[in-house]
Amino acid sequence: MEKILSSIFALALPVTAGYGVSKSVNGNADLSLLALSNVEALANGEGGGDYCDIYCTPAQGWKCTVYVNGVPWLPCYDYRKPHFIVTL
Amino acid sequence: MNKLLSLLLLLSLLISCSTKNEYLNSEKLNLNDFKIRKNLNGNIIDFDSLVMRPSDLLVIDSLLITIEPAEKRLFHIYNLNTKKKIANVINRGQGPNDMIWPQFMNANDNIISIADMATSTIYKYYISDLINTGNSPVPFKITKLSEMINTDVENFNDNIVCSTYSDEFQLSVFDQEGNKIKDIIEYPQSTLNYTNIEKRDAFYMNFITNQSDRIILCYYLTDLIEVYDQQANLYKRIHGPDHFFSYFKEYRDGEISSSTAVKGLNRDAYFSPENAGDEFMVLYNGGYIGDPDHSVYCNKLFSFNWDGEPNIIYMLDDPIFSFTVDTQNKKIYGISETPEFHIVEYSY
Repeated sequence: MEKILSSIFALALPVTAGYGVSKSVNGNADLSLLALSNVEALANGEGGGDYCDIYCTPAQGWKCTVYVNGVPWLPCYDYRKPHFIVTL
Repeated sequence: MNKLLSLLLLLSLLISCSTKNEYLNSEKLNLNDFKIRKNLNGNIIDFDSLVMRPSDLLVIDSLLITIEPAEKRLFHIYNLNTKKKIANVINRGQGPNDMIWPQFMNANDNIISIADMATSTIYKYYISDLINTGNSPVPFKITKLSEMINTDVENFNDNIVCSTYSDEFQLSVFDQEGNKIKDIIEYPQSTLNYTNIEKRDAFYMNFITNQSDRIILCYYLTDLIEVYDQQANLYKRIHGPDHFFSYFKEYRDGEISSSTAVKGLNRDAYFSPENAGDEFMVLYNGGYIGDPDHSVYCNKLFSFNWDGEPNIIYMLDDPIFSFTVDTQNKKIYGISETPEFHIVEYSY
C-alpha cells in the first residue's frame, strides 16, 4: 500500500508543479507564485534531488532544467545536461 | 571493415556538421585576431581558513567574497590584505533573509546585488552591513521577479535583465519592483533546427552588461559571443575561434521531457563572462565534453572591448572556471580545483 501511495505521489508531484510553472511562463501572476514556491521547495532538496540525478549529470557551476510536458519544472543546480550516445 | 565504415561515417558526420552550418549575420573569430597573447602565472592565496567548494566569487576593494553553496552560511568574506576570513554570513535555507542558490550580480563601492536563483529574488545590501552586522545581515531592498530566472540576471541601467524560459526570447527586462516590462533578444539563428527545449540547452549562456549601452551574451556550448546595443539590437555576432555548434536531442520519459547533448560532437565554449571596466573578459574552454580528460576548468581567458573586438589572450598556468576582476589593481581572482579547491590570483 505504501509503495502504491509513493508511486501516486511521485506521479502527481511533477504534474502539479509542472502545471504551475506552465501557467507562470504564460504570465499568470497568481499561478506564477505557486510555481515559484514549488520550485523553491524542489530546489531546496525536497524531492528534487532524485530527478536531478536521473535526468542530469553533476557539473560545478551549471544548471540543468527538467521539463514536464514541455514546460520547465525542476531546476538542478550544479548539474548539466548529460551526453548520451544518440543519433541526430 | 566495420570499424573502417564506422570511422568514415563518423568523419563524414563531423565534416558535415562543421562545414555546412553557420550562424546568420555572424563574423568569424580566429585566435590570430587577438592583438596580444600573454602568459600569466598565478599565485595561490593562502588564507587563514580553508576555501571549501566555492561556486562564485566577487572582489570589492580589499574584500573577496566567495559563495559556498554546500556550507551552512553561504557567503565567506576574506580580507585580501591580511589574508584572513572576516565573516561568514547568510544562512542557506528558506527563512527570512536566507537564500538557496545565490549568484553575484554586480557591486559598486557601497552596494552589492545578489540574486537567489532558486527563488528568483534579488537582494541588495550595503557592503558595510554585510560585514558588520552579524551572521544574518538585513538587505535594504528585496525584489521578487514575476518569472523564474533561468541562467543569469544582471542590473542594466535602471532595470533588471534576466534570462527566462521564453520560447522566443532569451532575456526579459523587469522594473525594480520585479514586474516584467518586455522580452528582448531572440535566440541565434543558424542552419540548425532545434525544439524549444533543445534550443534552451543548446544556447545555454551567461551575459554581462557595461551598465550603459552594451549587453554581451556568451554561450557555453557553442563558441559564440553576441554584442547587443542599448535597445537590444544585435551589434555584432562573433563565431570562433573553433567555429563549432551545439547539438542536442530532446527525449521524453513519460510526462518528463529533457534533452541530451550528442556525444562526440559537443564542446564547452565560453564560461563566466565578467565586466572588466573598459573591456570584458571571458574564459574559453574548447574541449570535447565526452573526452576522458575533459575539464570545465579553463586555461584561456579572452578579453574584448565592448564593441566585441578581440584584445588579448591570457594563458593561465592554473586553470579556473569562475573569476572576478579588480580593475584598479589589475588583478584577476579565480576558482581553481587542483590539487584542492583554492583561489588563485593573477596580475594582468
